[in-house]
Amino acid sequence: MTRARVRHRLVVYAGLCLYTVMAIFPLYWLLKSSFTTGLDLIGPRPLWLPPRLDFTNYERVLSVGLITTFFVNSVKIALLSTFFTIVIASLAAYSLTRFRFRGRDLVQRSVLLAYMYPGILLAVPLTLVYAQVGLINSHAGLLIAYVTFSLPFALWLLMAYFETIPHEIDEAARVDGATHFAVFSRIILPLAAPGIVTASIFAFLGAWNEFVLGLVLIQRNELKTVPVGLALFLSGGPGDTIEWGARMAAGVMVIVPSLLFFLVASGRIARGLAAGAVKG
Amino acid sequence: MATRAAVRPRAAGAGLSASVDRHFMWIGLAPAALCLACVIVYPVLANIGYSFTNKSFLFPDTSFVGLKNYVDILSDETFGFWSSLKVSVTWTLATVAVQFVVGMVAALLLNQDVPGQRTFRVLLLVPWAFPVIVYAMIWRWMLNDQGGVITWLAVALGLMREPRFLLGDPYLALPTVIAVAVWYGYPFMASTMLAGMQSIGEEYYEVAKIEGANAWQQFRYVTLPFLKPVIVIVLVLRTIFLFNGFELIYLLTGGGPNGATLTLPLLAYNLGWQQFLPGKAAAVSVLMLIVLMFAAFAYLRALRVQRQLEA
Amino acid sequence: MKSLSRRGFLMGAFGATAVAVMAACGSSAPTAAPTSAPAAAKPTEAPKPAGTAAPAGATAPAGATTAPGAAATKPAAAGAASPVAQTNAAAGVSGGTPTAPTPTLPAGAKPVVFWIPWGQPERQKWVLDTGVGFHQKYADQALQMEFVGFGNMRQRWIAASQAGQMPELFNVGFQEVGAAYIANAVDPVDDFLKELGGTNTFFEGPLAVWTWQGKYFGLPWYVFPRLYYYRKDLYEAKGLKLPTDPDSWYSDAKALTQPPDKWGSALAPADHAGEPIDYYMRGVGSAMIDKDGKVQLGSPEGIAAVDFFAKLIKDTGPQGMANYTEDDQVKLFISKDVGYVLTWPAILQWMAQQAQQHVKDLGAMVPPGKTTKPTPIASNIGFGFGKGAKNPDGARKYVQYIFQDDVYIGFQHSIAGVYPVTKSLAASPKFADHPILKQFPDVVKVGQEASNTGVEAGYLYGFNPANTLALNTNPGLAQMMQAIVLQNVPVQQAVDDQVKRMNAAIAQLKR
Repeated sequence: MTRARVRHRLVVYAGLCLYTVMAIFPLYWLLKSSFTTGLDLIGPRPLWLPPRLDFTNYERVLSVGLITTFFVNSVKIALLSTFFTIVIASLAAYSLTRFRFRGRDLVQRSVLLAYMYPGILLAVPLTLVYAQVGLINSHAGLLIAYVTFSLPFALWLLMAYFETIPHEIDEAARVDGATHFAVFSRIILPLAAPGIVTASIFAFLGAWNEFVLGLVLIQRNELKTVPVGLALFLSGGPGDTIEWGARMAAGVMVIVPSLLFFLVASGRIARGLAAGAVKG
Repeated sequence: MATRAAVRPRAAGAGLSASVDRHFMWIGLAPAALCLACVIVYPVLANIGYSFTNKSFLFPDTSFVGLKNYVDILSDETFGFWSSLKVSVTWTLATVAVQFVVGMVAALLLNQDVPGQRTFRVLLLVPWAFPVIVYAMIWRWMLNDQGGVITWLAVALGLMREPRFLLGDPYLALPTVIAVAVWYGYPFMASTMLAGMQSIGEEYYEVAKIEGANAWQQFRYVTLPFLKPVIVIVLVLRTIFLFNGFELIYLLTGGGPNGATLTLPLLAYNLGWQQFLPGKAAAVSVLMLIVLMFAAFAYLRALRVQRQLEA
Repeated sequence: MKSLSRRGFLMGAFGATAVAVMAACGSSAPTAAPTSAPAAAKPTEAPKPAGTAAPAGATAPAGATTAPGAAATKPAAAGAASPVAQTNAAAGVSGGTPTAPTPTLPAGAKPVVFWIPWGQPERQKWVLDTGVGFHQKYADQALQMEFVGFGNMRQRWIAASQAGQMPELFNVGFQEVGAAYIANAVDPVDDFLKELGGTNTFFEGPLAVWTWQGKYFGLPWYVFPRLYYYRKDLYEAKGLKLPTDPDSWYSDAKALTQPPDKWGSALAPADHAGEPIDYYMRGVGSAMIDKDGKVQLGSPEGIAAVDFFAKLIKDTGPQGMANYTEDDQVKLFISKDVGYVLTWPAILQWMAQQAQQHVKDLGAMVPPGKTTKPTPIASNIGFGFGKGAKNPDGARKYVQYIFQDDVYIGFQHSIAGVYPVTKSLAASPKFADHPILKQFPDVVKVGQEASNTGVEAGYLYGFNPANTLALNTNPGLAQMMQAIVLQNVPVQQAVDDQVKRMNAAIAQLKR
């Protein structure tokens, strides 16, 4: 290797390591703090390593139990909303790519607008609408909201994938007498499988991480999802600092499954991010 | 259920399945349209309606007050609209700008051909992978004035005279929140721009090298021009989403201290849920909606320009 | 064939999703498979008796040495505890601690939904325990406790009242219950008050703020004064007498200040700015808000009060005290040599557990006024009865049940330092018989007197929606103090801004 290349590599690695430390250090600190208690945690000098593997904080979080409830709620809501998002979005994407009709561009554009509309501005009106129809404090209500909010991105992604499938294929099938449903389910969906997987990942992550709507639409503790439930751990008041250990333990418990999911799906996530910036 | 026969011939003539097939376009669009209509369109319209009433969570009766909410909010600074707008604009622009620079540098580094690059591409995405609440918790803890590691470091390095809570300082709270937002948000920027960089053909760089361009010149005259459409779109989208951003600030500072981090979404939230004034909250939302319309227009234009460039 | 294998993959994926979804739905009563009670299958509506598992791991027995702050404070985590315990109970699954037997909910028991603001495990355990006793007494009733937290109560009742889902019972400050009453979300309790023995059952002061336009909109549950707690040893060492007016209050604090380890004051402007200001104003015969609901903060007395408070923060406390919350102020007082702290009585518990060496040195008094002795400031927390709740009768039975002296005392002792609102418990010798209270006999006496006559900051003349709007809809007072201390805004200007904010909030009343 030439000296220039060595130098180039050194510079690149130094930069990458700096970024990695920035990205990873908070996670390390979370993990470390979750094993630390009492004065070790809030003492005047932070300890860089936990003095010992102390599971007190975890016991505390588990003993209060609700975190498992949050998990079950989140998994249920995220899976169901992924499922419905994909079904609804792929049907709509089929219609929007396989039929020509007046106003199609308008529809596509309004979908983009819906994508930009922030959930927080809907907090009050949606609560009032939900209150009238009895959907406050119901997972069904939250599900409807999550599906709607992940529709635009899924739709956008799927339309792009569906467009890459040559129209000749399904037109040939139509000529052979296939119904639209058959074309949709037997030709388009299988061919667009990678797109569907990517869209599913984003729909899942969207519902898994969503906070605002969960905060206002679900009030009862045992119905809350992980992000909103965790916020209970943050709600202020005297004694904040001493609970940091327990909070960190709860954070670790939330992060581990997210991290696993992320590592498995990171390739697709990166590609999805590149395909179109995601909310957040 | 499904048979393995490739494609069944469609039933001719009448019957349910035939009519399903005839109206398949509408059947496909209906569920999505219904969802969007009920969860977004109707509440948005209702909200516009509320903005013309004195709707309150404290009093059951509601009456039409015309433009009073708008006049109050725009003319009476006790509601804090203009200061919130200022905070919102600062927050949005500063975060986008810093995220962009940090993300661009990350993308350039990740685009270098060195061993182990795949691992780094995963590691650098990590901050994006978790619910906001988790890293709001981490950062609030690291920034705490009693036991927080960042505070300790700042004191140890002489940047701070005695431990203090950065998120509680009227001057430093916003920069601190912005720093956290950069930490969380640069992976988007990096990923998008990395993808853009990877689509630039190697031959352009070869030509540039032959003509004696140094690294900066290659970046300036090859990378940037090619990335421009991507950059524009990412910047516009990021701007919109940050302008709308709520949960990070809500969880880190709740808008304080002394309104230093009170952006418009938080203002709307407080007006509605703390001050019992959903009518005024609705007016703020509508004003935000107007800003968003402009941004969306800019976005659609940028998208069209990109399509034209690609075509 | 490639497309077929993809299709297979897709079907598999959807199938797996569906199965997982069904599994998730089926197990939505997460901690326990339903055994006896059909309730468990439908967790959202399941009537759940409370009173099984106290948040065992989270409970710090009073007096035990725990990490700083743990016992007397509010682990939100513990707050999360209870519903799971309830779910266990609903399913008839044993999960109780040795102290709390597990009741099985007989079919048909009506739930009394009770939103609590307390995150402290001690108090939650007490609530759960009363659920057990309540159910034993009334077999057809079952308590369903839910932790909400003080800070979340407003959003919670607004949403619930819009949705027609008000709980039978909730507990929060009278200001919030009063606001809910104005919003038509709670029922008045005049007839229930008669059932409890009439107004004479309660101390007059604590009860008085629970009325509006001749109706009682709720009932007090406990009161606690905000007092001037001081370190006798520090004052003596400097040869200082106790302050007799705001001037000596300031000069004493100043004399005691020796950074970085000795400070004059421990204040909490970030969440308790109203108390020092209103104390000063009461001490000159004024009040932050007068009896007609008019804001007096902008009066010369108000300006002087704010100025006094700002000087205390700037000159007698550590840098950054302008951002201190109650928690920070207490930590400061416990860990350093600080002349006084203006705070609530949980200081006794913190002191007993973490600074035992100073227990004998702690004194308390109502802060001195300039021209007159100010009416003490006391917080007043109690019950609202949700309008339209399904089981109002159960709510009353429960409240009646827990107001019995031998039940009530358990709450008072769960976090020592708060005071009963009923005369009978206050008179009982059992009340003072508590390991922590016994260590502070003089302080407890001062506290009890102040509780019985005290009124919340800003509410000297009782509840009025104007006061709640002016004081409890924005963090304005804290903003004002931060502007003055941290941003050097002139006092007059900062006060003017705040008065404007308060008046704008009050303007809601003119519709």
